[in-house]
Amino acid sequence: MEVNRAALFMAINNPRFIEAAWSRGIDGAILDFEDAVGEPHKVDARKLPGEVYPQITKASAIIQVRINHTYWAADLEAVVWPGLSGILYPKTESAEEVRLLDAKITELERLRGMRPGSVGIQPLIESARGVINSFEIAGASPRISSFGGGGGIGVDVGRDLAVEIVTGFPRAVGEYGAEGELAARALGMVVAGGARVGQGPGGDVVSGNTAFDEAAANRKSGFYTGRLCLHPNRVDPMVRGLTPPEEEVEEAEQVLLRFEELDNRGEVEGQLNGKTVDKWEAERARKLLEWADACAKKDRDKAAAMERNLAAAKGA
Amino acid sequence: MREFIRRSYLTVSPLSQASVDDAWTHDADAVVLDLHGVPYQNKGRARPVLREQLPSLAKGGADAFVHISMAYLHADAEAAVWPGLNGILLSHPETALDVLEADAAVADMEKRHGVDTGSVEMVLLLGSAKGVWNIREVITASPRVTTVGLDDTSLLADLGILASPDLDPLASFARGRLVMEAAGVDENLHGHQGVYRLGIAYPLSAFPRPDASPDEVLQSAKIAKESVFNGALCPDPSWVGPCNRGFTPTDEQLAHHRKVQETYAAGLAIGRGAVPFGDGRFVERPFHELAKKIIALRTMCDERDAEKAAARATAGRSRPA
Repeated sequence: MEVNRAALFMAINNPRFIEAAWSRGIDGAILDFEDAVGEPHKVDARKLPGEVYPQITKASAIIQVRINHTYWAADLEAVVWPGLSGILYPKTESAEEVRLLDAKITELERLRGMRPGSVGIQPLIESARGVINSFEIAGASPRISSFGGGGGIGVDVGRDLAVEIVTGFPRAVGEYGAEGELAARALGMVVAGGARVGQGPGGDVVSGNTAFDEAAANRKSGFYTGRLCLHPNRVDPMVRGLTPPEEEVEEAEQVLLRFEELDNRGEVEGQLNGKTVDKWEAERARKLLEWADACAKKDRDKAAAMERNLAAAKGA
Repeated sequence: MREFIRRSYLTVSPLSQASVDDAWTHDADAVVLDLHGVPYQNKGRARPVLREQLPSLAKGGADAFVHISMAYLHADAEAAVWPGLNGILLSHPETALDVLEADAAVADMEKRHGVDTGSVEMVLLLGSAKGVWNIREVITASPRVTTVGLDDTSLLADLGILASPDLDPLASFARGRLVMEAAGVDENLHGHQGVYRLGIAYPLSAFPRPDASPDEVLQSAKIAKESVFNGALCPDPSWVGPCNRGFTPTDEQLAHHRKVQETYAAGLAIGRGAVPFGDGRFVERPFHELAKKIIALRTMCDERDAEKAAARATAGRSRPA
């Protein structure tokens, strides 16, 4: 189970951010080749993965890259190297595009000796046409393991529809979120995004104040996926918010025990501390424990990496 | 590429000659002769007058439409398609075959009545669950289709919903579906990107009271604009002004988006793709592209208003004293 509670978003050609990334406590990094990289700098940016990837992996963080929709082939040549975990594919509008992307990644994995299928694809749905083709896009490649984005109602959809994304952006966008989530659930995938995390009210991307609450709300609704952080202030609150606290873990263990008792007696439902326990509650508890374990492992890996990196920084 | 601004479709009954004569003075972007709304027993009286009424509709620069019924397609099309007609509103197609049949009927009448071939466009109003379900095939069946909307009243009746004004029962599926499917139509299919959306916000969409206050209409038009609609049917002349304003980007929006553009341009000049915009916000390319679209939309609205003002001034001068 991949744990990526907070992925810090950085332009691949911004060395100030990249060099500090290891110290931020991130689960992952999203290295951008798209809108954060100016048009004249794109060619040079493609030379950077070789030196940038190790700076992320040394923090035991996952690397995802957002490529350009237009330059997907040139970008893939540059970024599909060991260390890469996934591609964010912006402005996806059809299944055919995803199949082309998949074929190219497969070829590069073979050429470069990478594990087959190790590079994931995350289609980003950012236009009306993408929305209406959601189901076929989500099913277009086995590399897609999560889809949707009820929380991903971004400015790109507004750009496509020529409307401003205002607070309470109404009806049509409910459909947008719902379509993606429905497709993901129908295909048995992780629902990407969940509740809106990673951007405060009014487009505030710097403040960490709201990030914890948003992340915790996400976790409590059963969405064990983080979202990108546009600012390092939001990394720690999101990691904490998405990690189940000890009391919830203990409660989940009790729920499982209680359900086991009930099940052994051939009963389907009972009580625990005034709450109902049944197979659905047991399933929820099981998922929570699985997620808590995965988070704990990730935190151990990160702590070990942090220790190594601090020592290296002192030695330098 | 066929782009137009049509924020207000003023509907008038062809049986009310006074309303028809007066329609051009209200600054509507389009005027619609509502044959569909004429009761069955009176349609025979209404059809013959349409031809004579069409030329006056455009005196104030409005586009001229006739609202016809799928149920009486051929009789209605024969009466409606005459020189001076810009398009028909069609209630309520349910399948691609319906639209193809309407396309053929209109094409036939264009040839018989000396109207430019292919010039009459179609605005589709969906009034049944079947029509909403089939929306993709319906709106892509003919290149004449430029605009689509819901006929809430008919749709609610079809669904058997007794609607309360407090809760929009069509919000979660029908309206969202309509917006996404219409906006997502391939630009190569019809020569223009997407299909325009016609509709005002609930509850006026389902209960279009002619005596709604101008402010209520304005707010409803603004919400509709934010929900990605482009214009609305106006059952009363008092709706036209608020709809024109509500569907036009405001001065504040214009100022905001100009600032976005300036900020983004200044950032690009020093090699940044994401540029700080105050209050912890950033602007990047999609913001810039949205700004371009909103500024362009405002420019088109202003041009449309100027065009109508000029037409009204000319018509006013030639008016017999």
